[in-house]
Amino acid sequence: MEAPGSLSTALRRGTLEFCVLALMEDGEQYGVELVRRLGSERTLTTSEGTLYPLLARLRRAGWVETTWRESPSGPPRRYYALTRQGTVALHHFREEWTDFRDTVDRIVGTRPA
Amino acid sequence: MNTYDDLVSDYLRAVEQAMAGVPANRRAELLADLSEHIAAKRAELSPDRETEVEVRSILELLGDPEDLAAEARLDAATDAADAGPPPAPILIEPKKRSAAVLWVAITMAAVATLCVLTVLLGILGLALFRA
Repeated sequence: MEAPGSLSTALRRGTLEFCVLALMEDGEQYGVELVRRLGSERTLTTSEGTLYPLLARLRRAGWVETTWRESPSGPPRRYYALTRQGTVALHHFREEWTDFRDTVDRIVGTRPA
Repeated sequence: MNTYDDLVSDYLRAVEQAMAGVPANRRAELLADLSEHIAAKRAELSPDRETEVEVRSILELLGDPEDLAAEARLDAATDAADAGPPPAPILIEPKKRSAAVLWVAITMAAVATLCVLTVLLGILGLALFRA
């Protein structure tokens, strides 16, 4: 069995990547900004840095693509955007997640009153 | 460029060391992503006036090198699992092998007998027909 402390790690695994995809849904996002936004969600991430292996995984899966853009100040910026495949994956997750969440709520007794 | 570059390179080195066992291309990829992140955030700070506290804060937000390495290692493990175990070769145990050879011999004998019988019956039939 997993220790209680690692429960949140287990829950994050498999869901966090879709939170990342959802943040890109309204258009491309500056990578550093994306990491800053998610990194401040303490229930989702332990730190900003742990998001980079996840973003790399999404790139490799072909769910996101990145573009470098010049910045008015500082080094070029890397922007992340959803691909067609990423959009499909996000839609699929939404359907699965609602069923999954409802079932867990019903069995565990966490269904909102 | 200033004295805080050492803080950054110490941090990156710690991440690199923590990532033992992670494939080299993944290590390089994460280090590049982190360097890029740090450079971008430092650029926001106006480099001539950045303070040690600010630089340390960037690194603290990135997190414990061990946590990052653990995440990268999990990724590598997931990839390996996704690839799946190689299919097991079809192995025939010695006992079964001799049984298989026996069955092949029996089948061949049966087929041969049938062929011979057919030919003999044919000849017989021909002989009877002519008679």
